[in-house]
Amino acid sequence: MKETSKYGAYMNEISKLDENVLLIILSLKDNAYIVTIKTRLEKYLNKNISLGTLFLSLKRLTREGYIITKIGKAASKQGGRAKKYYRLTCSGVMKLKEIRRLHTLMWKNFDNLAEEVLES
Amino acid sequence: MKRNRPPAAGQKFLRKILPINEQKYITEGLEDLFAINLKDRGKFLTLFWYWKEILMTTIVIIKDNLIGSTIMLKNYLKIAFRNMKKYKFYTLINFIGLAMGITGSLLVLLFIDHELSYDIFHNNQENIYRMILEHPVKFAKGRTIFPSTPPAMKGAMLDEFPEVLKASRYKNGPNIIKCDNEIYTVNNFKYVDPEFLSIFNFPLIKGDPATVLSDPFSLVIAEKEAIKLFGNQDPIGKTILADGEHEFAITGVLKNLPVKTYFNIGFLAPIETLNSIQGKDYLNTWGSINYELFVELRADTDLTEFENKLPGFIKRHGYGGNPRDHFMPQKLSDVHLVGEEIDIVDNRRVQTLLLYSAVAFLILLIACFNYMNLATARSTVRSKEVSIRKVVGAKRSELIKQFMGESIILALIALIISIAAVKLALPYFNAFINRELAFAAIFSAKIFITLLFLSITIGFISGAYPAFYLSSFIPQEVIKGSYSHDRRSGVISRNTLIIIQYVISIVLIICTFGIYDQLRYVSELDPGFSKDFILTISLRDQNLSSQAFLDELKAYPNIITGTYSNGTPVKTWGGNLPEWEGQTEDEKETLFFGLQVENEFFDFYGIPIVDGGIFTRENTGPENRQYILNETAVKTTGWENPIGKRFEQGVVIGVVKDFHFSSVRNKIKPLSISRLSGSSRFLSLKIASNDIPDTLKHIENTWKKFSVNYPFSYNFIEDQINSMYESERKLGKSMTFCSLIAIVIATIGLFGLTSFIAQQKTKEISIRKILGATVPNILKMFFGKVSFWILLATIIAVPTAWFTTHKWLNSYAYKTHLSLLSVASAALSAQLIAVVAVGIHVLKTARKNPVDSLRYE
Repeated sequence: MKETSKYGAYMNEISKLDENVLLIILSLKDNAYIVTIKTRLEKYLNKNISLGTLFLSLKRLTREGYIITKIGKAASKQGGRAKKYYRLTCSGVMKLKEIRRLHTLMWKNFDNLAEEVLES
Repeated sequence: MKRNRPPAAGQKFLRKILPINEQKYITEGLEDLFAINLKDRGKFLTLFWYWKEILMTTIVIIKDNLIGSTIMLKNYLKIAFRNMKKYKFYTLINFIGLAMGITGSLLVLLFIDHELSYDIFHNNQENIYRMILEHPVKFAKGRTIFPSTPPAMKGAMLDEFPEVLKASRYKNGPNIIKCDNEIYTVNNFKYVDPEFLSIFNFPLIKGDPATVLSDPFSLVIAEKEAIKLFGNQDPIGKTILADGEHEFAITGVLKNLPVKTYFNIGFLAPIETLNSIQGKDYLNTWGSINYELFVELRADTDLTEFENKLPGFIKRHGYGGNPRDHFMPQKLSDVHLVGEEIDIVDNRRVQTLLLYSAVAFLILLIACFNYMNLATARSTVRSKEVSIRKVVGAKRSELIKQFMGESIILALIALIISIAAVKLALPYFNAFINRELAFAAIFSAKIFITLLFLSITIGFISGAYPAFYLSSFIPQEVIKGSYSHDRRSGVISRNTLIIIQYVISIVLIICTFGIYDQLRYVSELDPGFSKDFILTISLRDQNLSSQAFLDELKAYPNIITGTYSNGTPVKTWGGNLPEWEGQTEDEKETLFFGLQVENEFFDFYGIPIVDGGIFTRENTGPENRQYILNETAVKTTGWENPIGKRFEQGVVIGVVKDFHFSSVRNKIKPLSISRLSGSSRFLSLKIASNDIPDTLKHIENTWKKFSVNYPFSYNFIEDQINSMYESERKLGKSMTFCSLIAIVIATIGLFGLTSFIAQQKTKEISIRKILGATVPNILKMFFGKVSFWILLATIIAVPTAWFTTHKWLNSYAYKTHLSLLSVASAALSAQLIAVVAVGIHVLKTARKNPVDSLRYE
């Protein structure tokens, strides 16, 4: 069992990139494979993410059990080929929820606090 | 369809570095992305993007792999050192080989770095140029350039070219100086313009750089010369006498020049002094071209444009030389590489650098092969370790990392040994290459990083093959004992490596022999004139050119005869472009060499006159000058009957047989000999072969009676001929050294390998002996194999070496052939060395009592 901290967050933090990848996979629904993930990720982050980086991130997430893979059917059109699709697991979704909870916790009262600093 | 595909090489590479179960999806994904990109961005950008993608992916994956392995690192290190300790003999062989290879390359690296870093310490060194002159002389391949300009060019350039900021002439000054009644011969007295000190970073210890050179006959002296001349006294205000008549007063002291500079300066005098000595307008001429000129250009100067302006510029000023002469700027950093001597640029220095780099690389290769060989040969020893690691869960990639790591560690240790070896060898190396390389240069960032990179690469290359080989063992088979260590693939590649090593060694040996063949040919070659017991004296003093001096010398019984001349058979003057009767337009710029001699000269040097006769008239002027040409000159002119033909303004009266008046590298050139007029520059003396020291003493004493301002000096003709081939001799020596190292490393490797095989086959040998094999039988078993390898290596090496040597020999106009004896002795010595190395070990094993190796209770 994974240890939880006082605030209930899982101890094994994941990197910002991994978090983003998880979110993108979630948003892509049934169409999350390496090309779409990379394209969207690059579009949102507006920077180049190399295949190697993405591949390692996916490998990590798979190992942690946040995502699972499924080999799709080969497309019927010419040159069609089987793709490897990624989908979030329950624990992946839990992880994201956890992150968001922690995130909200951290950013709570941000506006007021920021104002205070700026005014002083 | 096909055109939208990414480069196959990249895809293949990507598949290599990715885990098997991901390869397909990722490469296919990349293919899709490639197609999308191609639509949006066009071919070029997409290709760029593609390779960037591959590179980034590789880096990320390598990084990922490295982070995972730190935990096992300690274990790998421990095992590596244990193995080194346990098999001291093999470790030693590996170290010796690698260290020798690295030492060699390190020395070459230092040398190259040194050669490339001349004159880089000046503030504006990238904007400083030397003006050079390309001379359209037709007698050699390549360009003929001289670093010479007319003296008036400096002022005119400063006036007319806005891009020329500063300029300074640089010219040799007097050779003889007198100070406190001591006479010194110097070669570092230079005339320069006052700007010289502001163009170049040569700081003064005493004196103001702006004024020290402003008056004629002022003199700046280098620190070391000041100490030589005046000891600890303050040199400022002291005077020295140059060439016995001109007095210079010292106004400044120059800090000693750095080692890495083209300039050789001990004394600096303002060039205007020449006007005071020779007459007011001496320097204001476009007629002579004997001055080196350095210019500092504005940083934004367009060099091509600058160069294009020069022909018009010199024409406007009435340049007195050949109308087709072409001036151009040469970068300061190239000045040293091209060489100091005014000569034909054939980039000999650059070629030498390349040659040595290639040889160093080959030696390193041999050393790497040694490591590969021994590591794979010793695989039996490591196979159990590998298997156990695999059973416990090591991945192949981890094992590869382990073995690579081991070889890299070995290479790094070898690097440390090499650095120590370089420290010891550097003084000898410096003496040999005639440079002052600093040991500390190794630790400059540039060289050190290169070295580190080199060692790691060596470790990587030599470790790669064993790593893949060793990690491929299948644990079940090894542990069960059914694994055959003599798998054919391993054996074949090991043999191949040995053969390549010997090919390289034999090629180097044959090339070395080839160089010595040529050197022997040169020394046995009849130069066409007699050279035994002849010495020449260079005469600077008018008094010495008088017949009285020669008469007094001849009175001594051991001095047989003597003759005055301008030039000797080994010192002719060149640069003469004569006109002759029936000369075609095409022949107008043929370079002739020249000599001025007396009639005795031909007898004295034994140069036969083949046609016509000797001089009959005094040489009083160009109109009634008589010429004797050499055979080549006659061939050049195309005359069938040369006697009586007009040559220049004079007439041809004789033809001498060709003789070698320059290095055999060049074909014999046209030579015109005229009668001595005025004072002579050389006195040649033939002396008896006995009591040479006494004879020399006598000449010196007589000299002193006639000349007080000049020190006595002489040269034997034979020494002068030898000095023409100094670079060849050096090449020969260094190649001997290199081929020796190569064969030693290769032989050590062979020795190690056979000793290992012999050890492995101890039982086989013992059983053979029990069954009746004799020691010679067993030796034959090993020798047969080794001899075959070496024979094969020889067969490959001989044509390669023959080709290389002949390419080198082709740079000589007069050359020998690679003698069969050289080839045979190279091959035989390689064979012999190999047999001895193998024999020692095999004999030891073969003579052992079989009982010792077979029983184990």
